[in-house]
Amino acid sequence: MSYLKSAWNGWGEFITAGKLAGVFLAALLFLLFQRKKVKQQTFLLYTTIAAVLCIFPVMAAILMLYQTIFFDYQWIWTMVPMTCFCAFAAVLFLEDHLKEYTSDKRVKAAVVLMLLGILAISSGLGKKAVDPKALTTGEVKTILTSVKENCADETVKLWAPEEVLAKTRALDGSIELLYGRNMWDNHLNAYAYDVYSEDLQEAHFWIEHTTWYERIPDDECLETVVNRGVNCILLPMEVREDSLEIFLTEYEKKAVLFEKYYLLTRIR
Amino acid sequence: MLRKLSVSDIVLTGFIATVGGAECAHVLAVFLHKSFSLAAALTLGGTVAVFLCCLAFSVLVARRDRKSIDPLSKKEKWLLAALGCVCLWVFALLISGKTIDVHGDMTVETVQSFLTTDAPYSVNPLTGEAYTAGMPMRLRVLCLPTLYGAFCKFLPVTPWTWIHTIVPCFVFVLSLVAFYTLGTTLFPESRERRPLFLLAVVLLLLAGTYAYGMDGFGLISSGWRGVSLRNLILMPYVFALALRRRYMGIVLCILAEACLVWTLYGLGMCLLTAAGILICDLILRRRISKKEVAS
Repeated sequence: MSYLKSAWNGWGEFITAGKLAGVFLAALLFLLFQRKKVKQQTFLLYTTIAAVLCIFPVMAAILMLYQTIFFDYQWIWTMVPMTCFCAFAAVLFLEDHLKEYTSDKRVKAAVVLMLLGILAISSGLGKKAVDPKALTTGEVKTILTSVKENCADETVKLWAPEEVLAKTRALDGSIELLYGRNMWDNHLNAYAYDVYSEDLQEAHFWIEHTTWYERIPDDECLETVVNRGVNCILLPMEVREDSLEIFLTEYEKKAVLFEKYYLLTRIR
Repeated sequence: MLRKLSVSDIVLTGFIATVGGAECAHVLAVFLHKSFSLAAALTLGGTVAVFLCCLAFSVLVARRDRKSIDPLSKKEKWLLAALGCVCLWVFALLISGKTIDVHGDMTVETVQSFLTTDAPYSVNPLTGEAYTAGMPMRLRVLCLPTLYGAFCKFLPVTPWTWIHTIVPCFVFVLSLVAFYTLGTTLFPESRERRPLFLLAVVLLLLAGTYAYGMDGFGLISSGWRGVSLRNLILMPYVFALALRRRYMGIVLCILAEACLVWTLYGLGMCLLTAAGILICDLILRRRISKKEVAS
């Protein structure tokens, strides 16, 4: 049932973000009407059948079962040659159909421009929203250099906000983390059977909401972090004074980075 | 055998052979507990050997075909120039590094942990600590981290740069070769239509960068991932091979997919697609022979 639900909702999501699926269906319709002139009948027949299988929920659910639960709905469209088919249809339209209709170069140029316009509109114009909290690779590298310089231990175990942890292991494989990106990026949980305990999830919530009063007590969070062997912490500077005081009982303030984070290391 | 092969077939078969070599080295390291350094050396050595073989075969095939190739027409030159400009735009996007999307992907972390510990999957790549409950075997056998890590081990390049910037450029070139092979299959008589087909493909890839799962997104934002390699290189090649009824090549693509992507015990999209095309081909041939018998 969950597969059927995913297959039903999946098609709606697939055509919401952008309309290349619409361009594909238009190309399919065009070639089906022209099918007697199409030499690659196998390609046309296969694409038609594959598209029908991916759109209708029952068959789509069976395909999702085949590709396993590791993949979402949109990946069943791998078996449909959307890109190649649209390109194939475009070539046949421009080289055969348009040539039959007119020999005027201006008309042909206008048609080509219109097709490019349709493509541009179908692509979902607009940029992805940039996360204001995100740090550049250079900034994270600077932070990690500072962390390693200030931490006296050979192995650094770091606890920091998401925007720092997100790139830490990718840039430096020697630094251990209290938790990884799979704490907030659920898709990554498919790569391992490990799960995070409740105290780690609470520590994550704590550091992402340092100014909130309604969260786990500061001393409980400190105990979690100390027991897990964290020897280096990057606390956002918005942290409340009383929370910082509690952490300074076990850690000492070594530096301020980018005027955004306190760098704390374990008191020996 | 050489008579039937083109340069594009040789290049793509070389890619599949490289994946196969990396898979053997990866399996050696994972199951026989050999060091990652050994696996990396074997992978890199295998890749160089494959590259040299492909180069030699390509030179032979190019020499064989040299006399039968007509000079380019004016239209072809314009189309190739336009294609070149659009391809430069794609390379600029890939090299800028501003289109990277790492949601749901941990390839770089995995390669970093392989390099740091000199052993595959000895620690959880996301935390650096030992696994508590383990990881699925079907992920453990996939060879991409070893293939990428091998280059990072011996070349002066960081995993972040190699995987997010350089690898997608290679994938784009290989995808052009794969789509060109498909274009040759779809337009066997008309050489002029192939650059137009390629141009349309690249424009469609650029237009399809809006959502996870689209081919364009796979190339521009996650060109290093197994699913991107499958969708952009293996799938167009499978279409070309199935339409030409080249069964050996199809088998190689199916095996390559099993090394790159999570599949149902080796049963992936390449197999499903090839089977679908071959069934459609059978249906159409029967229909044609019935018509011939009837007439």
